[in-house]
Amino acid sequence: MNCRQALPLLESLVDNELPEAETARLKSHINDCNHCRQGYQETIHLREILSRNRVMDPGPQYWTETTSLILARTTELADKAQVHHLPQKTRHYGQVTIIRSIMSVVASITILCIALLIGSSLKKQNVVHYVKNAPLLATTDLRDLLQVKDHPIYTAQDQINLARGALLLGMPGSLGRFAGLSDLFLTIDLK
Amino acid sequence: MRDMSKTVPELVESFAKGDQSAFAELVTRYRKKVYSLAYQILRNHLDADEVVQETFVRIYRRQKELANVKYFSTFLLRIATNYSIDLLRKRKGHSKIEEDSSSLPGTVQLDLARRVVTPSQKFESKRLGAEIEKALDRLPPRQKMTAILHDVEGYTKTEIAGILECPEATVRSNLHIARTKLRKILKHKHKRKE
Repeated sequence: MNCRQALPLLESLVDNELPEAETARLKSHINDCNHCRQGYQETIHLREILSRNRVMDPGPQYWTETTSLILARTTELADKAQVHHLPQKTRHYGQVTIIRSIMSVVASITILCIALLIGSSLKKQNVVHYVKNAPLLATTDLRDLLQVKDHPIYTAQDQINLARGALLLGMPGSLGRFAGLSDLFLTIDLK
Repeated sequence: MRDMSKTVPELVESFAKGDQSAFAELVTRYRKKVYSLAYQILRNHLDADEVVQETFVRIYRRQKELANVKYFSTFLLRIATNYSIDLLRKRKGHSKIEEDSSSLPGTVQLDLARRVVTPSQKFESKRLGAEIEKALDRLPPRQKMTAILHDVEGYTKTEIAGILECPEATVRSNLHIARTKLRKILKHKHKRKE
């Protein structure tokens, strides 16, 4: 064995990691070689110094106090973890409450929309009903009502105009308020 | 009451299932290892104390993970090492506090005073210790960690690879570089004294 082969193995020899045969060969080289022997002794010396540099034990009282502190901290952690579980339940409960509120709002809006739809359809029906009845009034001959068929009272045009006036303006009592009522009737397209 | 009958894997399994007394026993068994490692890295009792407490609190927080941990010791020391390196980096900006026994808590001082050593032994040990500390401080964190774990704390290269989360070859290489540097530093100091 030469120095090139021996030097990289010196630390393994110090750490007792070499097989017996190689240990014997290396030791025989170290005995013959000053340079390698110095390297080997320095490594052993360094290991000794380092191993002596162990930390002094701070003592039983320190350990008792520190262990109590650690256990107190971990107990606190466990308590916190338990408390942490409660808000999770509350949060879950809160979510349910929010969903319920949203659902009730949606239900209210739906009911309102349905009510509006029903209301609007009823109005339409009323109008249809009103329009359906209107021609009856318009086409009724006043002579039939007065039972004076032989004597013409109003012309057919007059009856239509009267009927429209009643339709547009309401009860006959209000007719007197409009001085230009006859002009208004004339402007209406009879088609 | 300590449960000495259980092995570490049994204790870890019990703790993972929620057994608090198993956790207390794990703290008792490993607290000194964590303190020693942290002190070697940080050179300060208060910081080492912080590492001990924080390491076990972190272990507690990862209780459920422990069921899948193969080697508890490696897992624990990895947490301690990482936290120590974090503290070391934080402290780097500040001037290093040279700790002597008077800055230690009263109970610790009392315990240390009980250990009788001769003045020459104390002097020699203190001088060598200071030299080694300074030499170790000059090394990059990974090399320093490797040297401390292997040559001071006595962990195997496989264990160190697990703690530092790197290949065993990297541990070997870091250890070789660290030792070479330390040898050079110490040699240089001895030559200057001569």
